[in-house]
Amino acid sequence: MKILIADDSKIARKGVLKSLSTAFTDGFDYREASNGAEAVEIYSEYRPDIVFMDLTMPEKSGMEALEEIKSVNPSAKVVIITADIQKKTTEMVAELGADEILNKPVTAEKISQIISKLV
Amino acid sequence: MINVLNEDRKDALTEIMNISYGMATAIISDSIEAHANLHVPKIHVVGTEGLENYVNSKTSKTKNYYVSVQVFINKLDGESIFIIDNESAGKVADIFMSDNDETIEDEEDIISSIHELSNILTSACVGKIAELLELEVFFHPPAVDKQSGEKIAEYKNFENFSKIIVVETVLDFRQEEINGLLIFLLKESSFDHLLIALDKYIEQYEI
Repeated sequence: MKILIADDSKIARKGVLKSLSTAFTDGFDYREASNGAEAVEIYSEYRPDIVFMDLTMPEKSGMEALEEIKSVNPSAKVVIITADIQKKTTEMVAELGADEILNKPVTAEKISQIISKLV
Repeated sequence: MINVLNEDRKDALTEIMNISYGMATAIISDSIEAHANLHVPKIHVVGTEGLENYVNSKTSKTKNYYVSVQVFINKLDGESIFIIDNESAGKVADIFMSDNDETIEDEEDIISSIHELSNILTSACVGKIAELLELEVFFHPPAVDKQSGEKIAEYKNFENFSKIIVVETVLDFRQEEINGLLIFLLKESSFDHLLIALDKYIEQYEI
């Protein structure tokens, strides 16, 4: 399984990675992006099975990156991980085609459930 | 200003503040029934020296400011100071008041709105750190005062404190950009507790 983790916070990326490692002991391949523009670029060449992406990132926001990834591949699996827990944000992200939305901080259990559902 | 935290600790604190701001924004957004764009706050952790220059660099001598001070006690012992200029304070009051179909009648309405906003921000940020430390923290109500830009950096005597966390905030409600400075003053023992909490936060993600 190939995974892309996009977040401008290193500790947040480590959090997702730790949850993935706990949930998937068989291992997985992954790439990291520290902003939205990098996420779109890596997505295009790496073509991961699933993307875990923050919303508030520099250069290109998670919403913009989500929109671009979905325009490149409408069936791309994108999970938004965000500290923004407003209902309207959830609605906006769902409208842009996000497959799931997780509130920070994430847990291995939540990540495992999401991957089982999407991949 | 020299940051006294290493990169990992600073990154962890920024992420904790980001989560706290997400909670605070949701509380405000729900109460005024309007969506807000969330911006990741910029964090600086510094010694008390140099803060005056920093505050001066972020404020204007020609403006007036509302300053909200809130004391928190227990093992996490310190004060928060929220500084917001007149214009942004007016926007906050307008947003809070219009939600109740009211308009700003006097300065008391603005003070009341800043009181509410600073209380939500401080409670969310300090509360989250306390949660990580697994300890209780008690909050005194905020006291809001008005200060001229010329006097703003001299407003507070920092001598009782050891370290200062400066959070540069942008709250974006209804396309109204509201800028503010949120400053946490911590005593040395509380700063030590904070470092323990940050290391614990970082360690939980070590593989």
